[in-house]
Amino acid sequence: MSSGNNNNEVAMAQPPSRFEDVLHVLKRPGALAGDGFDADSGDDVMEMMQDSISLLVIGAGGLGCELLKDLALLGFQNMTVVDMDTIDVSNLNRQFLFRPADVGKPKAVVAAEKVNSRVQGCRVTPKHARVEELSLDFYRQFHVWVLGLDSVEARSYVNSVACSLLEYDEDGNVDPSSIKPMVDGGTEGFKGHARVIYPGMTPCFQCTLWLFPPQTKYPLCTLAETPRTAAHCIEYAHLIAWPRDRPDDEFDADNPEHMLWMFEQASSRAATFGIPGVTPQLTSGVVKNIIPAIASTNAIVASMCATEVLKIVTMCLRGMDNYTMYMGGYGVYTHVASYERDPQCIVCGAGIAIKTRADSTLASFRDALTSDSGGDGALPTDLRGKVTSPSISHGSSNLYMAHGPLEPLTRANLSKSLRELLFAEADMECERRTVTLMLNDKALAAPVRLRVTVE
Amino acid sequence: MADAGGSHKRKYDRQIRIWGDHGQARLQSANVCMLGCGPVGSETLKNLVLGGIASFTVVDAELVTARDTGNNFLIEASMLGTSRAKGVSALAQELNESVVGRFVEEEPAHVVQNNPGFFRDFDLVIATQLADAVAAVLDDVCRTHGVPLILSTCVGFAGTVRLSLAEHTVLEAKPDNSVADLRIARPWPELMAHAAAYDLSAMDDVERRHVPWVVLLLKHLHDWRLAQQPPAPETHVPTTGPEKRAFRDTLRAWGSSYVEVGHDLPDNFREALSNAYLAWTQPEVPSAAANVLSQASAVAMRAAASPVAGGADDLDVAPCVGFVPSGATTYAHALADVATTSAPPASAAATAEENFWQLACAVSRFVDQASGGGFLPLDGSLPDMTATTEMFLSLQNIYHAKAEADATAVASIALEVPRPRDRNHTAPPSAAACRHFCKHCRHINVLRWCRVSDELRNGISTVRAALANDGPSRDAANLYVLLRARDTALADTQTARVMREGTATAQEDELRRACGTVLRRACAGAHSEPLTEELISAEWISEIARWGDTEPHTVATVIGGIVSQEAIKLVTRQFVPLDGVLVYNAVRGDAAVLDVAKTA
Ligand SMILES: [Zn+2]
Repeated sequence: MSSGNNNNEVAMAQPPSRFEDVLHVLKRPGALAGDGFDADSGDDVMEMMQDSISLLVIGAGGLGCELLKDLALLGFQNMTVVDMDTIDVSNLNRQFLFRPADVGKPKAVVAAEKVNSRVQGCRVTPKHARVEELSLDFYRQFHVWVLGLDSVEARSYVNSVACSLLEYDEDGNVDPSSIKPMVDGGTEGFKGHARVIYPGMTPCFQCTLWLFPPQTKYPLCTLAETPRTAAHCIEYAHLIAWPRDRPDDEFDADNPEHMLWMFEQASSRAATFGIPGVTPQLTSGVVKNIIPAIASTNAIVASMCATEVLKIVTMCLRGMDNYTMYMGGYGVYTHVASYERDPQCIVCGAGIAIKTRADSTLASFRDALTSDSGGDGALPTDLRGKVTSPSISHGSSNLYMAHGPLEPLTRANLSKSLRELLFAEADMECERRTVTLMLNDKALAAPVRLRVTVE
Repeated sequence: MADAGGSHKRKYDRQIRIWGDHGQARLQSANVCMLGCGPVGSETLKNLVLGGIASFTVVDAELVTARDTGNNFLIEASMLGTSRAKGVSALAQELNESVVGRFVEEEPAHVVQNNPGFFRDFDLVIATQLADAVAAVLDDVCRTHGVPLILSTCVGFAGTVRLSLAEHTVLEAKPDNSVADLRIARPWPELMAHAAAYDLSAMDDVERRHVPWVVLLLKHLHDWRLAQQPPAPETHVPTTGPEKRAFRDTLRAWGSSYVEVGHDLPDNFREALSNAYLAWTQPEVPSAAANVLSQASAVAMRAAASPVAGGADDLDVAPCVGFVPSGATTYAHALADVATTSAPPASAAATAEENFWQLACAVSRFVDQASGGGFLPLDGSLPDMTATTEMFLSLQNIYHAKAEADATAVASIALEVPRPRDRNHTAPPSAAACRHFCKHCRHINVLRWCRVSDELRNGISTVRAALANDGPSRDAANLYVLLRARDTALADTQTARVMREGTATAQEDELRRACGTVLRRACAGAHSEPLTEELISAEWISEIARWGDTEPHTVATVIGGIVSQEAIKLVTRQFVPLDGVLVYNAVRGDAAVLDVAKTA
């Protein structure tokens, strides 16, 4: 492809490509393109999207189905989709890759199959697994992670994985090559959000955890003594009556007999107290914590996310900065907010700087941290003396696991030197080096990053 | 569950939780016409078919190209060279076996111009990528048949959505942040008496910690009135900052008097404190509802007087005479019978909506009469709060009883409102319908859209303020003008050639010239300062030229998603549709609604 004379070239002169809509924009300079966009390499960029970029789509539900379709129709061809669920009838009103005959099959497998067969050349690899079951090395292989999840817990987990990959230098500056950009979507009814996260540069989930409303939880004494609403009666059946009356059965919300029992228990409790409104629909809603969902909102939010993936990879347009809220119930209202990082964030922050000698053993390094001085004052005051039995890891390798089956397997590392544990032969020459270790302990809400400068 | 009803209920469970069985029934009876099945049309179709509309009819004359296989999920490679309408219909139909799919292999513009009768029998017409001039003709056709229309465009990383119909009334607006109507500032006698019967000093500690905060606020407000010098009347509430502060302080002191020094306030007192503002919040009629009520009488009268379109003139006599007394007692009886669940029978919701203006007129009279005392009928809902079961249920009963009494009063007023001529042979709105209407009347709404031809004439002069001001809608106003300009440039063979085949610079120049044309046209005859293309941002001109005729799949999907949300709102008659022109800006990632589509 010739370079430098785009302005004089005739648009769409080449034979039409399948992805002409994207290619056309990639091959032309634009006033609102992102930093570093180069229209002259438009064809190469498209080739890269198809051949070398690989994307991780987390969730194959309402958003996940849309995301896979959207990314495939932008021209991305290497994707892996992770989902632990199987297909339920109630998914069919929006998870358009599934048909009644697919009920009971793993979502990831069916979704991958459908997209691969509809979009030629697309290679989606399914992973029927929980996000917690996948290794750091698995996560590390993807260029951009796209999240279509419905729980705060799963998001927080994936966020902590992305942040654990961050490498900071001695001064606390993040190494850009350690950043895995994440694009996240979420919906409820006619509402949703799309956001872009560059961990270490823009706010992570933990930085803006307040964006997620707290879940409704009822005090047990309300359920047991002063029920007032239908939901109270249902939660009573769920949390109190079931373990009391059926201690040997594990409750399964997908088992119709279990749900019927729950409904009957809730109904009879409601009747005792004269509380109206217990229905089978409400019972399943409360017990399964169902979030109402429709196809159109998932389509809107997922495609906003996929557009951002295209921008991250190609820079063809400025990126969304950094959170869009969409509300479609009362007219249409959207709002873009440029949230800021929490400098104190324990998940994405640069963490705690510590200096130590290369020949000190892991045991002495660890003992210093657990001492009352907290590693010679390295730990913040509120943690000194509180961290008593920490585990320490380096990337995906566990240096020492204080509890569980890995303890005996990692015990031998305690007597090894940090040089031996952390540096390859080639690095031995360096006088100073900063490595990121993760410290975990019962006293900590989440693992803490240690920026250890070894001399 | 083998029956269709049961499996439908399960399949559509996640959306029935949003719009109820009656909303779902509406969706399942909707016949939708889709003009154009590029990515926007196909994505819209996908969402609506999944939701379970009755049928769709795709109108499109294109043959499938390579580009279609790259931007449209309802196309597959084997369809190359065959009818796009046929291909999309087949794959859309396959998404949901309950939906009937049809297709017409004809140019949408051709059907609009040559076969206007085609559109008569649809419940909704959705047009994608239609030229402005054709859209204006289609709009006239749809209005003639009384069929709602949604128009949409997608150009590169931008797009628009706009609705067009004469009038749409909304009963179930379902707003997100609705504050419960508790009347704490203006309690009715039974509520006052209920609160007065609580004697905290005679209670044990456990009981006292369970007195509902609504009761605490009512009692405290009563005491506050008595403590004023001279004692304030029953309608008086704290209004100044110091008064409100003092109200909160004495409320906190009251709660503290029941706990040991240094201990936390009981939960119920803390809830009362955080809701203390309700003691001086007057139960107002929200502006959208006030707008409906102010015109309800005139609209109801007009409907009653207008000639009937089906020759039902012989049923002209109002059958209400003699019905009033017995009807009123029947209502009271029926109201007491029905369990107070939130879901109305589908027929009640339908009847309430069919009689929207008559019932709005009745509510408006209720508000003005002594029975309403200036307030809307109470909806009767009480949020959960710290309380014993008995305390909560008895308070809830007070609210329910008042809501029932208000609905009964509205029902008897409704019998006096003249009925629309074309419906006066049917039964008057049932008690359940009146209750349903009263439950939602605080958020009723009416929307009216101007004709597309009027918007084409006046829209640009309406956005002039947004063009000049540095605000969030400036980008949207720029895009609005540019898309109009682009349409103008493409309508002419000569300039269309430059737009499609010229150099980038030539395309930008052509676009800038077209902006000048539409802007000058917009101020022709106006006395205001003329608008010129200087107002339009060079950045946006370059991007619109850059994007050309592209419809990237993900931008089309956002537009299609918004169109389907609006379609659902129109069809279910729930939630509030978009009343302006929505401009989606995929660069920023947001959408702005320009106020250019309402009637004056
Ligand atoms: Zn953070």
